[in-house]
Amino acid sequence: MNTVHLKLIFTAFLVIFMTPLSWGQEQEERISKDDVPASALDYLKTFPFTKKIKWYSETNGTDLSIEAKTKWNGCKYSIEFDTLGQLQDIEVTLNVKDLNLTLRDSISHYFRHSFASYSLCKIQRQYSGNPELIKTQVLNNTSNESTIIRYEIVAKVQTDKVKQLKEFLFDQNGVLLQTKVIPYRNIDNLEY
Amino acid sequence: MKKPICITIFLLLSVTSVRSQQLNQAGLLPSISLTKKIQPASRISLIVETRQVLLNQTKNEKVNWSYFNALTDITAIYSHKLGYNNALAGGYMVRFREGEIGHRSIQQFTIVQRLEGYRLSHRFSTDQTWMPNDPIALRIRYRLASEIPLQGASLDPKEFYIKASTEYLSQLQDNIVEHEVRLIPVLGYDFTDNNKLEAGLDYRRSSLFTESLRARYWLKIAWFRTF
Repeated sequence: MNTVHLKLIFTAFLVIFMTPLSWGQEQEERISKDDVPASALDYLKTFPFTKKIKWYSETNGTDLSIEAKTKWNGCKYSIEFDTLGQLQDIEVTLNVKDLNLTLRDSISHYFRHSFASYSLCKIQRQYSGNPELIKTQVLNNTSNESTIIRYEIVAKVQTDKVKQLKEFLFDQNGVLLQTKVIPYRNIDNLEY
Repeated sequence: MKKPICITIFLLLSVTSVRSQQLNQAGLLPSISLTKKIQPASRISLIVETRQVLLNQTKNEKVNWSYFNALTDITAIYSHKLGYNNALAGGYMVRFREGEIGHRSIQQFTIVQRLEGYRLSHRFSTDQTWMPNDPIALRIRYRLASEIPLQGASLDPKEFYIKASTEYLSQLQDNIVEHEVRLIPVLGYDFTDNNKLEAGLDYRRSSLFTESLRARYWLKIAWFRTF
């Protein structure tokens, strides 16, 4: 390899490493159980989870949270804590048919009238409030008025010529609370 | 994480099951892919790839250490997103090989599935190659690639990932059909969403089902940059 080749390679690496590394998206990283606050571990010990629990730290650039993910009874559970180990919410992945008919109609009505076309990718029921009441509610699939229940839905939507992947948050009556565009991830390395 | 592991094992088995390993060529395969978004759904890419041969073996000879630039490909591809996870692309490649200049037209359709914990890409493509003194070569290709993040459930900047892909190619040239299989396991690093570097093995087994099987091993180094 002559010096011209070496110079080219060196220049290419300089360009790569000098690229700014700032971004403002959510970032998730796998962490060890040892890095999890004791109160979060203690809380999960009271659940009858039998499968492996994977721990992640998640940041949106300003706030940091700790998240546990596992499966139980055929459903995926995501339990989010703050950095002190206090429960923030529990999310359970569902199918459309698991939603009650009124809620399903309300959400379908919103999507049908807001977008030219849509496809639901992921539905999660989100519980927040008193940790002990949430636990009872999640495990027994019962209702409790003091627990806040919301539905987080990820959907591919199209309006005119714009196609987006978005996250929608509905209350338990199917009223839209907020939406967020999920940034399109660059997949050039999977195309070429 | 079980599915991506199964896919990776399948990709490995798909090539290791091919009979008798024989080295014919090995070297470096550096490439740079520069992409510019020209509209929300359209992009144009310029890809430069060279093959630097370090080990070479011709028929009935010992393996020789020899360095030479086997070829350089310069490709321009226009890609248009049809949906959120699929794109249609067409391009043109100019190949510089041993003083000759060849041409290739490329058509491809890609679907990228965003699955729990990994991504799966299906690429269907066809191409037509014209080299001086050679009959036109027509190829159809299918590539299955999985991208598995190593530091979380999704790939984020400043994280490593594994990309394992396998590709099957069939070529028709001068009324002769030949088949090739490729296995490309690489380790990637995501500097930012628009800046990725990958390095790994690019293993190619060509002239399948014939007596003149050829095996080529490349150290692939690919840089993907989007503006």
